[in-house]
Amino acid sequence: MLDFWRQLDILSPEDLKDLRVTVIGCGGIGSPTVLALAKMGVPNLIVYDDDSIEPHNLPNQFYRITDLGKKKVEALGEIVEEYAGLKIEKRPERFKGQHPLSGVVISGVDTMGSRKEIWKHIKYKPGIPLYIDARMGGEVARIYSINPCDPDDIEFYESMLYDDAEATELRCTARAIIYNVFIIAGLIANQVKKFARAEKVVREIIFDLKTLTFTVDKERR
Amino acid sequence: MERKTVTQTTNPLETLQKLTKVKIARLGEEVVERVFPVGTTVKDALEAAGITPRKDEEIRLDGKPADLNAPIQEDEVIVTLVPRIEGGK
Repeated sequence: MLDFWRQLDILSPEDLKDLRVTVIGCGGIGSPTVLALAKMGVPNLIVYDDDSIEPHNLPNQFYRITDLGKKKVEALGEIVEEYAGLKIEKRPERFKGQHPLSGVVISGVDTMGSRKEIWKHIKYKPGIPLYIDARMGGEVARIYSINPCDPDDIEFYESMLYDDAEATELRCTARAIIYNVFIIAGLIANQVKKFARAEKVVREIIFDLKTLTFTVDKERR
Repeated sequence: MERKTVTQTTNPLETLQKLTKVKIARLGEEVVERVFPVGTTVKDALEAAGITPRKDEEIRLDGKPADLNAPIQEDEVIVTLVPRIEGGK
């Protein structure tokens, strides 16, 4: 059991006691995000991913060398239990709407096609008060935090759901690096904290560590 | 002896139009700073900076989605070219 004394005035277990968070995709974005949420005190975490851990995953995902070959959700379950004393609900499968979603949902998948598929199961669902979609490429990240029942948020988010064919084609050797995913995970956890404390979340955050540029959508909810 | 009168002159451009400093950030690549008259379009500012937007980039003006014809206003202007990234792994 973690002692949250150092964060009580920022975020307390009481703020999170009924919170359920589902993370779809446990790679570069999802793995550190799940750990951050668990250490922050989120008591109910559900994770989806059908992938296994390969050597090229180790530098930018939160897995151990000893996890090679394991299913990502299995390894993440062990890590979270060891680091945060929390058992998470593991679903070693690709999310295709096979289980109804509720609570906060976070997407850290790898293609726009997967995001569009997930969005079909999020849009206009009153049981999902906050949907966070994070995307990364090299040292750049885009993070969307929206209310799936808010028409303005829906219009804005759908304008950012470009096709895979329109997406930037990055070289395999320029796609991800560890410091970027830690910052993304921190910003996602911060948005979850804001939601849990009824503070305003930011609809769009874009940052680039190459040029140290950081922009936020000033229309806040 | 006749004394010459010295009069202070100002930059005629400044008297005609306000100028504003613009930061142009092509995310993942470079940042340049230029000074333009207020009202310059994003397209003209990018051209003057030698930057041609790619098809996989979106444009933001001070964080808000904008098109190439949007006029640049005064104070703390950042034009951002944002790549349409999609990764998660």
